[in-house]
Formats: sequence, structure tokens, C-alpha cells
Amino acid sequence: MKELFVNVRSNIEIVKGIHKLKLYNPTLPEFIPGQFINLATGNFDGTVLRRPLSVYKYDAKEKTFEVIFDVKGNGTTFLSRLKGGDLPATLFLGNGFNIDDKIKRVALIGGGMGCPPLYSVIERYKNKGIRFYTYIGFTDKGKAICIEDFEAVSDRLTITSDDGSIGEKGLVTDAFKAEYEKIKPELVLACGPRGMLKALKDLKLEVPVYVSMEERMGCGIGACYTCICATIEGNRRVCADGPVFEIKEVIL
Amino acid sequence: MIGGSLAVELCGVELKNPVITASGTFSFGFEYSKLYDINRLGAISVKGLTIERREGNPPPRIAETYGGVLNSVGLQNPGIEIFVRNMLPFLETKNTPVIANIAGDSEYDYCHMADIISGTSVSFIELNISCPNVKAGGLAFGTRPEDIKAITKAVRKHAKKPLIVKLSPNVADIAENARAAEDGGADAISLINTVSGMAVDLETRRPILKNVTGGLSGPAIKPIALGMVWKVYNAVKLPIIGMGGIMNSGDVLEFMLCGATAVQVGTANLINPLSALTIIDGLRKYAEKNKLSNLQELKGKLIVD
Repeated sequence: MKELFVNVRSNIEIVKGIHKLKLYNPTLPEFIPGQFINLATGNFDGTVLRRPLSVYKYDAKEKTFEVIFDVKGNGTTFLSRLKGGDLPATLFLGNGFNIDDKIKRVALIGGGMGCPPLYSVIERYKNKGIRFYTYIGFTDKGKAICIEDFEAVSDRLTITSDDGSIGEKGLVTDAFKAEYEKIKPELVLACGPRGMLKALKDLKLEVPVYVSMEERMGCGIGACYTCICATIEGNRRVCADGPVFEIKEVIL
Repeated sequence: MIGGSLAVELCGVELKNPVITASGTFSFGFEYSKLYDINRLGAISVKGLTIERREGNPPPRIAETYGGVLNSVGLQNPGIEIFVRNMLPFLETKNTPVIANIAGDSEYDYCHMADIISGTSVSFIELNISCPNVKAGGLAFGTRPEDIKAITKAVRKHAKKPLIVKLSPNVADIAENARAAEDGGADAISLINTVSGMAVDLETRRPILKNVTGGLSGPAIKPIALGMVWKVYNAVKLPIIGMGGIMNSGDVLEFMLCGATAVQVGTANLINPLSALTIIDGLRKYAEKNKLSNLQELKGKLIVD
């Protein structure tokens, strides 16, 4: 974990209202897929807190990484207008997704803005002989992100949308359920809205399922106890004990 | 190293500098120690402790407001015994004084915790009678002067460490409450705890905090805090630990001019984890530039025409 200034290398609106920032620092620490950063917004229009953003791509050689965010309020509006410059950030935070050496078949389930951190998993493990079965769902075509990138690296990609404007119409968890017996994953990794995670938990799969949780966050490093999630062991910190938890631990 | 332009004596305990990290924003020091040497701090006020482990309130527990942060954590903590057994040993490897912030449901709870802390290496006890986020305890003891005097007097008998009483701003007369703490036997006063407030999500027409209301902190409340520190400084002889929205060394100096002996930095830690260090460096530069042999020369030196 480090506190650094990250330099804005590019800022692209990938679909309407969703931006991708490429950030650079020559002394980036080690990154585990599924980790996030806590990025200052530049104190624009009264914002004080940082914005926790999961990492999409990480390039150890170039010392850059990318984050994708939905433009929601003052903080993300400010970030969406950046054309360059340096911002303070704490990185890389949280525990992340880990894949055991013996695992050969992994299913990834992503919903909306929960898709980007799953890409970082494939990026890291793609040359280790693992087959990735990716299921990503969106509300509609206008919010569908990272499709080409997932297509390029997944062994099989299934896209769903609530209105059928892209991919199959329906829930991403239903699409996954329909193919589960066929693909026989040994591990399931997921990130997405609470409803999606709940539907995934309700499948009561026998294989291990790990999910990345989201909550309104303060410090990002485990000190303020604001971003908790209810687990069978009591309230735990999303930022420091997570964001990745085994699904059976989490109360959804 | 003690001494130099920033050193301060607080209730007989020497601090390297007047910058203390505020309860609830610094956990037990472990997380921040991964980012910097916490030995550089004046002192650390740990996460509010209760007798039993507490789970706190349901999320969302945090909301951003204009220049401020609302929280409704609700004293989630592992319980005082676990603190003493598992967290304090880490802090004992450092040479920064520790302040144990304690909150109870009853006078018995507060006294029992004071007994436990008195048998440890902790340097100060901070009586938290000002948490706005718990139903029982906390603020229940901290609004009326007669209650403040009674709880302070009771805990005083058990506390073998300097006793700091942390006051709430959500009261009728802060000066009267400070006098009540002084009459009850407090050794110092810390103020202000968070200001009660709420935030609304217009899209869902719901409060952002699951707890509906919470405590406001951050730069938005600094003027409230400064005004209250000044009032209390003029009402009591006890040393004051000022806090509320401190973001930089200039803010600290303003609190000192208004009568604070030391300060606590809270929300700034969340905004930038290195805030406390930056503030300490800024204070040193100010002392050098203004040729102050010790910053304490500024205490209470506000000029009111």
C-alpha cells in the first residue's frame, strides 16, 4: 500500500456517462487483481472524500493502470473533466481475487460497473492455462462496457441485458445457471450489484464462489469502519477485510 | 525526541507535538503505520471502546456533504479486553502516547473501563459522552451539565490516568458543560465531537445513511468548533484539546489562538492519509519562520478588539 500522486495519461468516455482514466506513476506498488484505489477528486465543489475505484487494467512494465467509473455526482463529474495533471491516491487496496495453481476452469460473473475488476483477473492469469467462462450483464446496450476486451481474453463470453438491446435478454445469473453443468467451473468470481450477488448466492453452488463487495467508503485502508458489510462473523470492513469475500460468509 | 518548538505538556504527559489523531478515524494505528511512522504523532486517540464488542450500525454509514463527512458508524469496536490484549501491544512498540476513548451504557460501564485502562500503559482516558450515533450511552451522559458533572466525578475516582472529557456540540451551552466537567474533576477537555445532521438522496428520496442521522465532521464544521473552543477557553482553566475540521497547520494555529493546548485531527486522515504528518511539518515551519521557541506561546493569544 502506498500514498502516491498518479498522473492522468488519458481520459476517455467509453460509453455515455462512463469514463476510463489511465493513470501513471513510476513507483506503482504490486497489484493483485480485484484491488482498488482511493483517488482524490481535487476538492471540486465541496467534495472532500476520495473515490474508491476498482482497477480494470494494470501494466507493470508501463507503470500505468486504468479505472472505469460512472459519472454520478460532484466527485466523478470532476474526474470526468480531467485532461491531465496529478492526483493523490492510496493504492493498491484490499485483498483481491486469488486463483489457486490447481484451478483450470473459472467462471466470471459481472454486472454493470462490477465488470472491470474481473478483467484484471483474466489479464493476470490468462497465460496460466486457465479457461475463463465470462458472463457479463448490463441494463442496456448504452451501459455495456469492456465487451471487446472480455471477448479477446475469455474462452467463452456470454452477454446479457435487462432489455435485450445487447446479448441475451435476461439476468446474467440465469445465463450462467443455464450453462453451469456444461462448463463445470472449479471457481466462480463475481462483482456486481447486490441483487446479482444475491441471485448468485441463491444458486447454492458447491464450488467456491468469491464476490467483490461495494459500500460507501471513507479512508479506504481499514481505519474508519464506515464501509462495512454484514457477514456471518459480524460486520467486516469492505476496504480492508474485503472487498473480496467468500459468498457463503456474506449476508446479502 | 521531546523538546523543540512543537513539544507540549498535556496533564503532565510530554507530547512531541500537539497533533493527536482523533478517535474513530485512526482505528488502533496499525493501518496508518503501513503508510508512515506513527511515532511522529503527538498522541493517538484510539477507536471508541465499549465493555463488550459492538457491531455498530448498518450501512451505508458514510455520506459526503458540502465540505463535510457524515458518519453513523455507531461505535463498532472489538471490546475493551480485546483492545488491551490484541491492539495495545502493537501501540506499546511505539513511543507515542495512547488515549483510550471509552463509551458506556451506564456509569458502571465507564468506571469499569476506567479501572481496566488504569492498569495498562495507556497515557490518557478520554471520556466519550458525545457520540451521536448510539441510542443508549454516549450522548445520553453528555448534554446536561448535571449529568456531565456526575459521570466525570464517578469516573475520576477510578481513573488513575489523566481524564479528558470529550464534549458534544449538540448542546444548549458548551461553556456550562465544560464547567461541569471541570467541577467533576476532569483534567482536560476535548471538543468538539461531530455535529448531528443528515443527508438525503434525491433520486431515492431516502436518507443516505441507513441510520437516518449521523455526525457531521470535516472542514464544514471548523467555524462551529473554533467558536466553541474559544467559549470554553474563556470558561474553564483546564487544558483544551481542540478539534473539528482541521485540515492543515493553519487550522491548528487558529485553534491554538482560540485557547487550545493541543488538537485532534480526524476527518483529514480520511481525506489524505498523510494529513497529520503534513500538519506537523507545517507547524514546525511556522514556528521557525515566526521565531517562536515554542508554539504554546500562541495559546489563547487571539486578539479581540
